[in-house]
Amino acid sequence: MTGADDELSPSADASADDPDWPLVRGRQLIQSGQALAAVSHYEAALAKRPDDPALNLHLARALMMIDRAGEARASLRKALSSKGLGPVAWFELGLAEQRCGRFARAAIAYRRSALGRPTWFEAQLHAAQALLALGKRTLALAHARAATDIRPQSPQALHLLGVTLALTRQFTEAARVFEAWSQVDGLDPGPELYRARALRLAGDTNAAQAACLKALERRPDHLRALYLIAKLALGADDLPKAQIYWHKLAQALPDRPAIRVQFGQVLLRRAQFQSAKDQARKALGIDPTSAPALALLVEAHLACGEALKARDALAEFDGRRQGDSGLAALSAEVARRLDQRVARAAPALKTRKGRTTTGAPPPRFVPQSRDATPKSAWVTRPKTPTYFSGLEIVDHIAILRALILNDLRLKYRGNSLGFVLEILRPTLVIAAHYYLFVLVRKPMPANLPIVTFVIAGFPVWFAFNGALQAGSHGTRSAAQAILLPQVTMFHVKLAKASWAVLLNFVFCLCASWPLIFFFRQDLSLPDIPTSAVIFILSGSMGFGLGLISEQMSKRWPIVDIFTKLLAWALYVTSGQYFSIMTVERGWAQFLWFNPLIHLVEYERHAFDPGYPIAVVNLGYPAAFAVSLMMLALMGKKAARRGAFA
Amino acid sequence: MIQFLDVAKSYAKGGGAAKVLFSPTSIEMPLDCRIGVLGGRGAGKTTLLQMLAGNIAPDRGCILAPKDVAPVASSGRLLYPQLSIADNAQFIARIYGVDVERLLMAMEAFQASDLNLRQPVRLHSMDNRRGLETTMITVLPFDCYLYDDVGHLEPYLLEQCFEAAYQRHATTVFSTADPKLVQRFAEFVVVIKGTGLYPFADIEAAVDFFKTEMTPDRN
Repeated sequence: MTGADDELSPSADASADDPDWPLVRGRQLIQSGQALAAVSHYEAALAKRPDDPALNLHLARALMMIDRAGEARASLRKALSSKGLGPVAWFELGLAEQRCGRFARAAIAYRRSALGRPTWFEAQLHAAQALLALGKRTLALAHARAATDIRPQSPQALHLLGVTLALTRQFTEAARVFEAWSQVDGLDPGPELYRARALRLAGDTNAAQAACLKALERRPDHLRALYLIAKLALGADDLPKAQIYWHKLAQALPDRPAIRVQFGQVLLRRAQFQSAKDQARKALGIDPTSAPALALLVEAHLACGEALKARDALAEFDGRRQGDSGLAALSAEVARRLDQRVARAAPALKTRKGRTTTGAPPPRFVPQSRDATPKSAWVTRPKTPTYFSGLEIVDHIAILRALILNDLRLKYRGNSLGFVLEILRPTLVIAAHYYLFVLVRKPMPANLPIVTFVIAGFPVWFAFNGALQAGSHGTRSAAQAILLPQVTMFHVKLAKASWAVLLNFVFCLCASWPLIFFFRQDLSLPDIPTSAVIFILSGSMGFGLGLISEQMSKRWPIVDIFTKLLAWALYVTSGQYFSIMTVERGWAQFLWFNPLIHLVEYERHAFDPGYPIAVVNLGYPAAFAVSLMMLALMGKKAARRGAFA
Repeated sequence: MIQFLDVAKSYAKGGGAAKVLFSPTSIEMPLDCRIGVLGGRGAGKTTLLQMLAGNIAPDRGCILAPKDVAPVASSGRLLYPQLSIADNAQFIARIYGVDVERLLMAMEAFQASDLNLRQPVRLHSMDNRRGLETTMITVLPFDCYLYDDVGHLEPYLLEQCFEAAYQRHATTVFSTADPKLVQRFAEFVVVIKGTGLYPFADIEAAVDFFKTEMTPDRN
């Protein structure tokens, strides 16, 4: 039976006058192994009470025991036509229908049984199996999930759920289910093999190979696992590994020509031509009509420059098999090679040991005619327009853009949180300083809002510092990028500096927007052209200083430490925490020499035209930036000539 | 002509001593042909190709090479290991101003196989990376292609690379330590022996010269 509670069971202590007596007697007969007698007994009882559902149900059970499924089905249908029978009867009808080969009806019966009692494991499992056999995958998946929910450790249910998920193309989830099955069945290689297939279909070849290896750990001679891992290694172009596993397969199945051909193909690709030829000959020894084996033999001969042997092999084996287009192409290639064959005498080569060898040189590579390849398949590169040829600025901008995007991709690939933090970092710094200033009730010149004071100051410093770091250190993408002749380290550094300037410029322009539009604060947006000039100057100064520092630190490593100290000094005196208008006159005269304070004060003026800028001058940082850049470029040129060596 | 005019190169080693790779040498190599650079391990083959690409400057002298030289391919170092093939292709496509889709299609056509474009390059074997890198560079048009240590490449891929360069009338310079590859593919050979560069138009003579015992004159 099914393990579920029985329906319409007779009470065990019924007497001969009791209406349950026929049921009790029938059960006694079945328990004593007289199923045929039980059937006769039930039929006799049914003659008196033909519509009794319990009698019909028990008769069906007895009939199923003596393999009369057709009659059992009829009895069950009769029983189910009257009310009172539920999921168990439907389940048994499903069994009877299935035994009669009526799978669609069986699926309906199982499904009704499962819907009638959703917590019944067998009903869910049978429903899923029957529906899957009918190709109704979505319904099958629902029942398989229900079965797994009832018994999460059942290997049967996990197997069925995994298969159903794989058939509905949910390969990653299927792999997880097979993994759970594998943990339940710790010694069986089957679950790992299923998992490997699911992972392969999900595109994770490495994990699939690992699963195959686990299956092989459980049973080292498992041929299916061996075959799958060999195919996976070949698919991933991991030829050394492919060679190992195809070799094992060829040893395990020595009489399969297809395996030998595959092994030979791997050997051919690994330039082990002699072994490839051996495998091809063995395959042809087993099946002389095998076209792939013959093709392999011919290819191996051609790879060794043995066009004559390839021709002989074709003549020897080709007559035994039907025509094949691949072989026809190979025959043509053999003919071409024979035409081009140049008889070359083997020269005597003097080796390092002073011995003489007469090894023949390999066949010469002869390219096809220059018109043979269709030029439409080629990639073409755009030419720089003539009016730009003098400047080549378009190419450089394209390179900078490529480097910036690549650097971002390298930095944040698989780590989108990092990108969010990149945006959040300046916001947090500014927010912290804002609350600090509110706390100390810092007086602002010209009643400039504290938010604006902070937003105008920090991005200018960040742009300067970012460009300084770029100029002195480069980026993580430098190693590969500078192997391209068109890309120099200067491009790489400039790209990083440009990104730092651009990011902070955009941040400075946009930081006030949320406050204005969401928090209704009375703030203003900066003047964009002025801000752009300020950020370019800030970036140029930082970049120039960074380049100079990098060149000098090659000769004097202490310059690195000096640059860091200088950066700190510039930061502290750059007016982030004060305005030059509000400090004492003596201090102001000293602070005026920091070019950054001019930029910061001008940026605040760009936000609020009423902000005083009487004592600062944009010309000073501009002169500073130009001087630093010129010094840096002159230094680079001198370094190229070896002046610092 | 590719010309090396009085070119010398040495590397600083630990302890202040310098390892001389090339003492001042002047050689000429023809264009529009396959040039093999034959040298033993550590002879300076990669440095020679990197100097041709302009990535490494010689200590003295100058090199006259075609204007549009490809990056040195097949070293396995050109692709970013943490990025996928598609991302690497996108970077290269942006640098050279080509359409990335077309580049990837050309790569697949060149390799005659479907590439798993989303798989990070680090998951590929080193030989596979070399193959990918070589394919990616070869499908782009250049005047001169540079292939380092071609012994690691699959023979069929190497043939395709030379075929593509030939179709484009481009010069190909490849380096190897295997004389057989030079015998098979090269039309002109430069042998690196000791600290000298020796050009040969006769391939067999170059191989003979390479195989004969050399006097240790390296510093």
